[in-house]
Parts: sequence; structure tokens; C-alpha cells
Amino acid sequence: MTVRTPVYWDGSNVVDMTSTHITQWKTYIAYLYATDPTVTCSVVSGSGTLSPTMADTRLKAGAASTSTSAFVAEGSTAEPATVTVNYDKITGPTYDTSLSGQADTNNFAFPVYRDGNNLKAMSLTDYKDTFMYATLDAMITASESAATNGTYTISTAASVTNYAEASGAGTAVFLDTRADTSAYTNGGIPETLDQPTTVTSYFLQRANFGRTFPTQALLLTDSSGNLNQVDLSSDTSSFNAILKNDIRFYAAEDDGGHKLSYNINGSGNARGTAMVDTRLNGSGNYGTRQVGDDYRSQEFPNGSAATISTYTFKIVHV
Amino acid sequence: MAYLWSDKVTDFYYSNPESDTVAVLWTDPDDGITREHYIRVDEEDEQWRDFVAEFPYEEINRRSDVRNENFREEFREAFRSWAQREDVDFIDPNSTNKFEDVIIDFISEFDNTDAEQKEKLFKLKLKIFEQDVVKDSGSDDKYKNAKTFIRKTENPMDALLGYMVFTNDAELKEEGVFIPFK
Repeated sequence: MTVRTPVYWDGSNVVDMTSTHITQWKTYIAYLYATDPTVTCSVVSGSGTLSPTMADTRLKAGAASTSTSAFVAEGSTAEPATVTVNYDKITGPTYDTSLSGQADTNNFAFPVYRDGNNLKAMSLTDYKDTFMYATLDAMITASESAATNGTYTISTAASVTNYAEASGAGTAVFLDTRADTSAYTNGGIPETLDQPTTVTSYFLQRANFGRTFPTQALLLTDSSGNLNQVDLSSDTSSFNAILKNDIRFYAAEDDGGHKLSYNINGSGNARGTAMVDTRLNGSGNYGTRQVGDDYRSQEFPNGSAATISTYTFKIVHV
Repeated sequence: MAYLWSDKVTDFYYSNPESDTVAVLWTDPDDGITREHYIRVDEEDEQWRDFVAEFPYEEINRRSDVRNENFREEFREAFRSWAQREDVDFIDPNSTNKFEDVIIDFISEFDNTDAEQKEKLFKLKLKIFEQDVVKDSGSDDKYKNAKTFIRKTENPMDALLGYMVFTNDAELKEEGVFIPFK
């Protein structure tokens, strides 16, 4: 792997770009990718291809017991039981494989770097390592920023600044519910068995940070040996269009181990919050109610919440 | 480091008896709402490494202990209220449980799919972490590894073996636990 240091014209000399300049370019390339991603995940109603079956479990009350002579003892009333709702609402990653990478046309398609006292155009390999792979490496970090533009994460809010909710309609990909203990009362026996409340909703989000043009222009050479500065003010200028095409191409079709992928609980870096199924851990709150000769008893959900299962959305290179 | 919770954390604690997931409470300055963010304990994961770099294991343990103690106090209070009821009979004439049977059953027939037994294991781990010899063990890798081992273990026997690192100079090795003769 050969990462080159591109050069720029500082007004009087050709000098190496600093790490800050290079980071600006990687962030800009990530922005170009985010304008039209080629590796996408979507929210579906069920049978998603990415998510395993993610189970949300909660307790429900045991069935009420009745007697005409005395309350049925706690040991004999039905215990609270577990209700399970499965979620499988993320499909992907889906790859757009309609593109081709830019070839090294006439050996000067890519930016110039300094080789000793000479200036040379990067080879295709140099260009991939310096711009494409470096950008794709930054795009899979767990820590999110404009450098991870166009990639996905999980949030507990439907609306997050600099992100676009993937379903477009505020559809959660996972709900964590628990028994609503306040809904169960002795006076209500026999209570409805399943009285849930949603504790947390989880949403799939795609990073959608705004554009900031780099502050220093890359230099390209032409067939006459002239140096030309690339356009810093247009996404569609010839070289920036190449950058956009190529980041989209390598993200979806790279065969050198930099293709983007997503999974749940697999390898890679966690994105956003893990999705957790929490459940009350009590063994039942015994309640009674007497109405004349009707002795009623029932066990309600109780206890403190504990995490039962954890589902982590991850991003990884493949 | 830039996460939704960065610079906005209000509390954090292990959210389950296995101590494999941490709940991070953070307050969004835009709307003032405190939200939960969960991170699985995974040394291979960058987000987890960033989190413990800022909030070390000892602090997570301490906050988890505080939170669990609050729950225990609520439970004690509920138990006291229940025990003061006139119709409560503490004596179970049918019980045949002996202390030694309870111990052996807990260790040799432990079922980590049973919520009640998992809760007992959780309490055992808490008790171990509350011991002075563990609390005062310092930051030596040997003890940090032992704490992680105890935290992650899924059965009481391993939890006790991990405890012996602090009490009996035992050592955790790739191939098992070395326990010196005394």
C-alpha cells in the first residue's frame, strides 16, 4: 500500500499538502459519496435480509384466579409469562454495481505528488490508496462525523441533526417494550394480561452532513506537461466527478478488501446505539380483589428492568 | 471522538447481570431529553474502547454498584412491608434444602438460561466486587483481567475461581486457572 502526499500550489511554490488538507479531501470525497450512496440499507415491514430476528420480550400478567370461598394462594395463581415480538426490518446491504472505476488514462489521470525533486502523477494504485481506500477506512470508524458521510447508524431519536432517517417515515426498526406496571391494579382484577409500554424506539439513520470544499486544490498534469489546479467549487467538475464515481464504485465493488458492508452482532465497528431488549425481572406481584363472594387474585409483572439481548449494528469492510 | 453521547453523559451502568452491555444516559442539549444509548462490552469494538478510555471499568463498576444498591434497598423495603403482614408464614415445613445442598446445586447445576439463577450469579459477582480485597486490588493487569473475567463469566464456579486471583494468588492462564498450594 502506497499512500502518497499530494502537492498544491501555495501561490509561489508547489508544496506538500498537510494532513489537514488531506483530511479535507477525504471528507469531501465522503460527501460526494453521500450524495448518491451505492451501498444502502432500507427499512422494510418484515423479512429483512440484514437483521436477524431481533426479539423484543416483555412480561404479561398471569391469568386471574377466582374462588367463591377464599383467595387462591400465591403459589397457585398463574405466574407472569413472557410475550415475544420479533423484528426483522432492515434489508441490505444492497450494492449498486453499475459503475466502473476510472482508468489511468495516459498515465496522468490522477493528482501529482513529489518524488524527490520531481513531480509525478500518481498511479492508479497510488490514487486508490491515497484517496479511495483512505476515505473508505475513515468511513467505517465507530466515531461518526462528516468523514463517515453516507453510512448508516442507529439512533433512539427519529430526527437527528445531519442524518436522514432511512425509512423516511419515522419507522422504527426495533421497539423495546416492557410491561406497564402502573397499568395493573388490584381494582382491575381480572386485568388485561398484556399491557405494554414502549421504552425505546430505534431508528436506522444515514449520515447526511453538508459539503465543505477543501481549501487547497490538487494538481493534475496534462499531455503537455502543464500543471492544472482542480476545481474547488463544483462537484461536477471533471476531476471531482471522477472522485464521486470512484468512491461510489470502490464502496460497492472493491475487490481489495474495502467494500462497505453492514451486519448485526457480526464483526466490525458498532454504529450508534446497540438495540437492547429489556424486561422486568420480577417473579410476580400478587394482587387480590374481593367482590362479594368472588375472591380474585392475579400476579402482575414486576421487578427492575434488565437487558435480555443486545443487538449491535456494525459497519465493516469486506 | 464523536458520538451522540460525547460530552453529554449523565450516567452509565451495566444493564444486565452478565455485565456485557452498558447503558449510557445522555442528555440532548437541543431538547433537554435524557436518552439511553447502549454499548456492548467488546474490546474489539472501537466505540467500546473509546468509551472505557473516557470512563474506566472501575467507574462503571462503581456506578453499577450504586444503582444496584438502590434497587436492593427498594427490594428490602418491599420485603419488610411484606414481612410485616399478619398472614406471612416464614416457616416452610416442606423444605428439605440444606446449606451444603444449596451451594453444590448452585455451582454444579447452574443454568444460565434461568432468570432466577442468573440473578443469583449477578448477586454473587456484586458481592465479590464489594470485597475489600477486590476493591483495593489496584490497577495491575492481573487484577484488571481477573475483574473482566469475573464480569464476563456465565457460571458461579468461574466467578469464584476469578475471586481466587485476589484471595489465593491464583493466576488466569490461557489454559485455565492456576491455583497454588498453600
